[in-house]
Amino acid sequence: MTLHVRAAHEERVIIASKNGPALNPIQWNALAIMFILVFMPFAVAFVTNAGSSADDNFKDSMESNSGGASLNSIWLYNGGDNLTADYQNLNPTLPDQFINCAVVQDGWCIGTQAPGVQALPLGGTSYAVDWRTPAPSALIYQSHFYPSSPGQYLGASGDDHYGWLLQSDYFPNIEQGEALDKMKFTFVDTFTSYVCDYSEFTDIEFNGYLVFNHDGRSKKVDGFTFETSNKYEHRFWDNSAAEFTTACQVGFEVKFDFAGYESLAISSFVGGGDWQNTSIEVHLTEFERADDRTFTDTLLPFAGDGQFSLSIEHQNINSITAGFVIRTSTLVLSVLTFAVGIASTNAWNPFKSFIGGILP
Amino acid sequence: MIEYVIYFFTAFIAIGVVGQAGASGLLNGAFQRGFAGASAQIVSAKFLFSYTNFETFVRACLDGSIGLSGYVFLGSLGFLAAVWVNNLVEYRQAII
Repeated sequence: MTLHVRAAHEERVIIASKNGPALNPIQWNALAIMFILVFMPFAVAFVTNAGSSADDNFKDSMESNSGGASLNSIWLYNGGDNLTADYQNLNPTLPDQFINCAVVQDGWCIGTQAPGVQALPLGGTSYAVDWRTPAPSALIYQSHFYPSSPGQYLGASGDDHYGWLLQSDYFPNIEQGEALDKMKFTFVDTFTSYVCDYSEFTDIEFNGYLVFNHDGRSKKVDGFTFETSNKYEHRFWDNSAAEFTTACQVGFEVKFDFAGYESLAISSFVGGGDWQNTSIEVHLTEFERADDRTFTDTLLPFAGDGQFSLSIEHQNINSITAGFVIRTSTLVLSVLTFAVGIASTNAWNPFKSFIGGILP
Repeated sequence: MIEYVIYFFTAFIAIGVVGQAGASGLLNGAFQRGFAGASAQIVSAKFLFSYTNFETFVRACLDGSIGLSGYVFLGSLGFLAAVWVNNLVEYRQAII
């Protein structure tokens, strides 16, 4: 049987043309590779980007509230370095519950294991105001706000993992029922300005992911990598000079651009866009300098013993249109892939008929 | 899991290409074949992983993010892979 099939195949494998064989076996394999490496990626890119916006027309997720609304958030991870002993030496009289927050993991302060001291979430509630950063922002305590007395920050918090849990009052302007196409988080240490060519500004690289919590369940959206500078140049309100001024401060924007199907999956997960009952975790991990020097005391907007500004913006997607395009085009792609599978057998040979017909 | 499937699939195609090249009188040395095959496999797998979102799309299909259409696509892709692997084993070319 095998011999028969092989014999039949031998007769069919070479396409005859007036000038001899048109495609040899190598070229058929090349055709297969082109399907996988050229056609398929383009088709998948079309499907995944269906409905996504190419522009960056972001809307403010936070409210502009100069009155100082209190917002709910906690630190989940504060860098990864364990400097508990150093802060204890610096501040021997500081209560354990503050020293304990030199290390925060998964929302719990675990710097010391002193019996009887309950681990505390590191609170970061503050004000939504719009004059510190271009978009409305909130002030959040920096990584070592609790264990460090003013001016005693040890200069580094780590390069491993920073994370925050933001409750829904951080993004009241994301309307119920909306599906998100992109989210942008801007982190800036607005309390310290530098000359714009300050030598400690540098390019950095890190990874990131978001976790959406709704109705007791969590959905992680990961795979984001970022390359940016820790220099944030912008115009802001200088209180002492009582005027807007251009400043170079430590900070950067982190933009999470979801594929169309991710937008739909997130929207579906949070109850069809029930943002009022959703919290979002922002995680930034594995920091490196682009110049390959050790990260150690590289400036980060959220590392320190003061406060930093966080603003949140978003861009939405038409979930009905995107859903239709994504599902329909995936179905078309499935039919096409199946057809290529059939066409790769002896049962149906449209390639050979087509190519044999167009070749001289 | 998906990474391994893509590595396996691209490796199989690379083996098919190099095998055919050898049968046609090209890449006569074992070192040349090994080098060409490994290069083809690494480049194609790297391309699919790093420069396209093929892997994340397949992963999304697998976890149900695209609904029934995603599972249908996975079925078609599995069928295509099975046909090509069979063809490569039987005839040393993916499309016959």
